[in-house]
Amino acid sequence: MNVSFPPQSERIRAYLDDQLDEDELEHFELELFSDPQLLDAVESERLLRQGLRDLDAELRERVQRLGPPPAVAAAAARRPPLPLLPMAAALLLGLIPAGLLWLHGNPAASVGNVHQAQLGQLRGAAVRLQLPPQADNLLLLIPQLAREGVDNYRVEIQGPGALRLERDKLVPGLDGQLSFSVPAAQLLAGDYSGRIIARRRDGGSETVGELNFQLEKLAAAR
Amino acid sequence: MPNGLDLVPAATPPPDAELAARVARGDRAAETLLVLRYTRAVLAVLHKRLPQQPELARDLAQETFIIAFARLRGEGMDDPERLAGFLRKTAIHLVIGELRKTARRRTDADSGSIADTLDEAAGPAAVLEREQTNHIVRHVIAEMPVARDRDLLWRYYVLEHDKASLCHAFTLSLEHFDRVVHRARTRFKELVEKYHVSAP
Repeated sequence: MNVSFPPQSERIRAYLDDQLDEDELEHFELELFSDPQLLDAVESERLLRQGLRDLDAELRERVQRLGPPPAVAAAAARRPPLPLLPMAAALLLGLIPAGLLWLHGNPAASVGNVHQAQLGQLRGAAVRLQLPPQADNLLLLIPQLAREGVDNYRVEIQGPGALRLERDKLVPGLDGQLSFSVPAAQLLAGDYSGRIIARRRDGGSETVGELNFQLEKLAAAR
Repeated sequence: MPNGLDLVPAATPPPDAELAARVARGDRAAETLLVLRYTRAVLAVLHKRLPQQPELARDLAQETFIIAFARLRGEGMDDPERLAGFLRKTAIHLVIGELRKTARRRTDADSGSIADTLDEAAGPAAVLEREQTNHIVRHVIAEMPVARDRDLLWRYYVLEHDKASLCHAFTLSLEHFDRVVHRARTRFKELVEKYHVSAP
C-alpha cells in the first residue's frame, strides 16, 4: 500500500480529534469520497481507538466492582517491579488484572531477601507490616490504575524520626500497581503515612490516594 | 499481433455526472451504483458526528441517498460532478436536524431497495457490533510481539499521550512510531475482513 505514514496518520488523528478547521474538515471528508485507502485507514483508526477505549472502560468497571483491595502485608516469590505497561493492557493480553489478585489475597510471608508489601489505599486503621530480619529490601506495591490524562505518579511517605520516602515518575506496571523498593536498613519501626499524587500531562497534579501503615521490624530468632 | 494474452482494459466506472443523469431518468441500477460507491464515505461522515449511535448513522445514510435521488429526479443539480459534496452536506444537515430533534423527512422513494444496497455497500467495518470490535482489538494487541509497542498503542489511543512525548519517552523516531500505529491499523482491518467472512 502506497501510504506516506506521517502526514496521513497526523491528518487522520486530527480529523478524529476534531482538530481540523471547517475548510480542512470539508477537504478531508471529500477526500474520503474519492480515496478508498484513506477511508480504510480512517475506519480502522476509529474502530481501533473505540475498541481500546471500551476495553479500558470495561476494565475500570470490573476493578471498581471488586472494591478496594485488602491492605495486607503480602509476600510471594521474589517479584521485581514489572515494566511500564498499564494495567489495562494486562486484561487485553489475557493476564490477570490486579483486582483479581486482591480477591484471592496473598499469604503474608517472606521469601529471599526482598519482602513484598501490598498496600491498599484505605483510610482508617493502619495496616501492620512485619519486616523480617533477613529482608534487605522492602518492595512496596500500591494498586493504581493508569488514569486518562495522567503522565506519572509521585508517592510521598512520612515515617518515624522525620523519615521521608519520596519516589517520582512512577507508572503502573503490568500488574496495575505502582511499585518501588526501599532498603530495609533505612526503615524504622513505627507509623507511616503518605499520599499518592497523580501528575497530569497538562502540568497539573492532584492527590489520588492516601496510605497508612505501621511497620514492625522482627528480631532475628536466637 | 494479438496473441490472446493481451490485457483487456477494465471497464471504466461511469462518472458521477452520468450516473446522476441516469438517476434523474429513474434508472434504479444507477441509484444502486451510487449507493455502492459512496455508502462508506457517507457513513464515515456520519460516524464522525454520531460516534455512539451507529444505528442512527445507518438510518441517516439511507435518508441521505433518498434525499439525493429525490433532488436528482426533481430540480436536479447545477454540477452533478459535485455529487460527493452534496451527499456530505446532506448527511451533515441530517445530523444537525436529528440533534435538534426536528421532524424527520420522508419521501416516496424506494427506501427498502436503498437499505438493502446500503447494507451491502457499508463494508465489514461499518456493520461490526461493538463487542466484535472489542474482540478484534484484543487480538490485535495480543498479537503485537513487542511489549513496548503494545504500551505505545495503549498510551496513544487510551491515555491520549501525544506523539512527540511518547517518542521522547520511548526514544523512538517519529517514523518508527508511525509504523507501529500503521501496522496495528492494517492488522485490525485484516482481522475485521476475516471476521466478516467467517461470521455466520
